[in-house]
Amino acid sequence: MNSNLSSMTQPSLLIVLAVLVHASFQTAVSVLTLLSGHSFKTKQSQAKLLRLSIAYCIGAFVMTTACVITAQAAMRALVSVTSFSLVWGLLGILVALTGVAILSAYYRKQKGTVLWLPRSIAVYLLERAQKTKNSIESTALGGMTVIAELPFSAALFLVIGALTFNYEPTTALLYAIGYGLLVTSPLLIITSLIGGGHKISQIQRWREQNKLFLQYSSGLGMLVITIYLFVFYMLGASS
Amino acid sequence: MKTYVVEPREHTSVEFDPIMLHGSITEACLTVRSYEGEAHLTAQHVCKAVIAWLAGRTEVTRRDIRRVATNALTVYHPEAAYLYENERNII
Repeated sequence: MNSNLSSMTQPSLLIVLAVLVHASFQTAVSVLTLLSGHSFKTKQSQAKLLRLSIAYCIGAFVMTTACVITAQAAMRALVSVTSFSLVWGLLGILVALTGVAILSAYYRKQKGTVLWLPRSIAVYLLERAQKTKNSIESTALGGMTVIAELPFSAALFLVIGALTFNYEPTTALLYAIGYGLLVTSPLLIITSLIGGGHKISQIQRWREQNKLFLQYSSGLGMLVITIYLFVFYMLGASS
Repeated sequence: MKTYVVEPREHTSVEFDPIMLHGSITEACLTVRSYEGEAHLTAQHVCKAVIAWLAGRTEVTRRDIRRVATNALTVYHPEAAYLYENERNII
């Protein structure tokens, strides 16, 4: 009974932790802020701004879900050719390295919320946000943002893929959709804040004031996931 | 006397254009949901302050103009000033 309970709660806890860490990533929020700011500048109506923001959230959600499904398939293929404990070990190392990278270099050491993204990608996202005029472009922008964030989020996708690929296809798909929804929830909150009349400057100021908290909590969260993977999965699978 | 805005990276300089400054200040005000009339009026005040500061200077950088404009804008619209100062520091 106890072992049944722990085998059910361990993956769930890990998924919740991964969702919390992933939801605190800021690339998608930055691009949504730019998109909204540009809509105000060009005097677009509130209804159009909401349409663009919701389309952007849908794009981010679809791409996140697609990334989880891809990770599930990759893990299924990987586990078929190697041992489970080795997969967990490699994943643990990848998550740890990503956590250290987030702790040391998620934000650039300058004013504002400038992220450690290759500048060419950041400039491209900035320009795309300024050129976005309809819902389809906005949806594509949301998807692109998830891709741009992959250096930081790939490890989490692989962990979720490894945790859920063994389930029934429908359950695995539901996990992927649930993960996508939860990770996109900060974007929905910001969309509703902007729709409710909050100023972008207030949101940006909050992000700037709390950027170190978000950086350290997500970096340390990654390290906790690493310990969890090593103790409960890698050692568990090898014993 | 004309004032030139130097681009240190490109080794070029262009004549200071108050209309361009007016446009970017107006955009910053509109971004924080100011009314259009208020945004233009604020931009006028800021442009006046920057032009007064430029008097007697022949060469300045874009960063100088941004700093002076931010200081002037802070008086009229602190939220817009914050966004104007940080618009390149969001991503």
